[in-house]
Amino acid sequence: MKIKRSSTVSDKIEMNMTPMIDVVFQLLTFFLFSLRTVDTEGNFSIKMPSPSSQQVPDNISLPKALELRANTDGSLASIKFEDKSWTIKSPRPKRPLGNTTPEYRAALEQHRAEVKAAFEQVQQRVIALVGQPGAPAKTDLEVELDCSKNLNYEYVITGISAVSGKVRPDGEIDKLIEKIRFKPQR
Amino acid sequence: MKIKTSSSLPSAETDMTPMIDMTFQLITFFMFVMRVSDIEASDKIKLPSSQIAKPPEGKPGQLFIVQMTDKSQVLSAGDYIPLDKFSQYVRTYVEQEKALNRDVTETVVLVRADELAKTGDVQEMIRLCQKNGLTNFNLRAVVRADN
Repeated sequence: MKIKRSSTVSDKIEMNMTPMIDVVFQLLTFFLFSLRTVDTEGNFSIKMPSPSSQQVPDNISLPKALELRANTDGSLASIKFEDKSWTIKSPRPKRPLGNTTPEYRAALEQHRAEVKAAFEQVQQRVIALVGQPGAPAKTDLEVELDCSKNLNYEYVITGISAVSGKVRPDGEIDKLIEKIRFKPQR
Repeated sequence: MKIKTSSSLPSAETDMTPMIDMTFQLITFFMFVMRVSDIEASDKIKLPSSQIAKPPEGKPGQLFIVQMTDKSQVLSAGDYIPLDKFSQYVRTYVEQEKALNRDVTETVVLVRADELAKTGDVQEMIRLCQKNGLTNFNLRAVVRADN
């Protein structure tokens, strides 16, 4: 019996890739829309027991007061730490409606530079209290923040940053004062 | 003149393999880049920035997240809570924690306040938490390389 062999030994089985490509594009679109770029967030850890439960030990020194006073618009007007005070001469500009103008950006940069310079001087005073940066932070030192009610919160964070640590050129942080509390509002 | 028309035109088949490879590469990239945040964080709040703020390490323990917008409204689960009603909100939370036999003194209050929120209102929010037995606070800020 003659067995007839087909001249084509094997037929290619072609898979239809279209549905797989469709699903892959669906997945890609999902990931594209669900991707959110967020800045890294960090914490300042503060222990704030209620004022009634606070027991002041005998050997603790009085807290150092850091006063932050605000203008009517909430921008920082002055800083006072121990016996030294700094006045912020350039006010924070009011943001214009619509796109920001070069004048606004320049005024904002000037205000921010002045605030940064003032807090750097506060930090120098704190370093003089604590000792050399990198030395173990004096555990009995405490800073009490006395802020105006209408002060913008960003200045509080800048103040806390200035008294709680200093960034070295290599990026490491030298701790300064760890105990920080808010003065009760009147 | 007889015009000869070919009954079957040669089909141009494009090789889709490189495109599929690129698409899988993109999917893999987005899968690794995407991070599911472990805390509730609203886009409405622009946090102040700081060089000193430390990114949290390890798994967060008991967290109570309080968010304040630039209009000094407390934001929770998408709802705006007036500050005078915030005490009731904290009390409810503390009672729920006690019902679950959790120690509220170990709860960390994560304060996410907008940079333009008023300090007095943030302090009032903190005070209301303290009044209900919460004593550990973490103030959140965006970590910046140059502040």
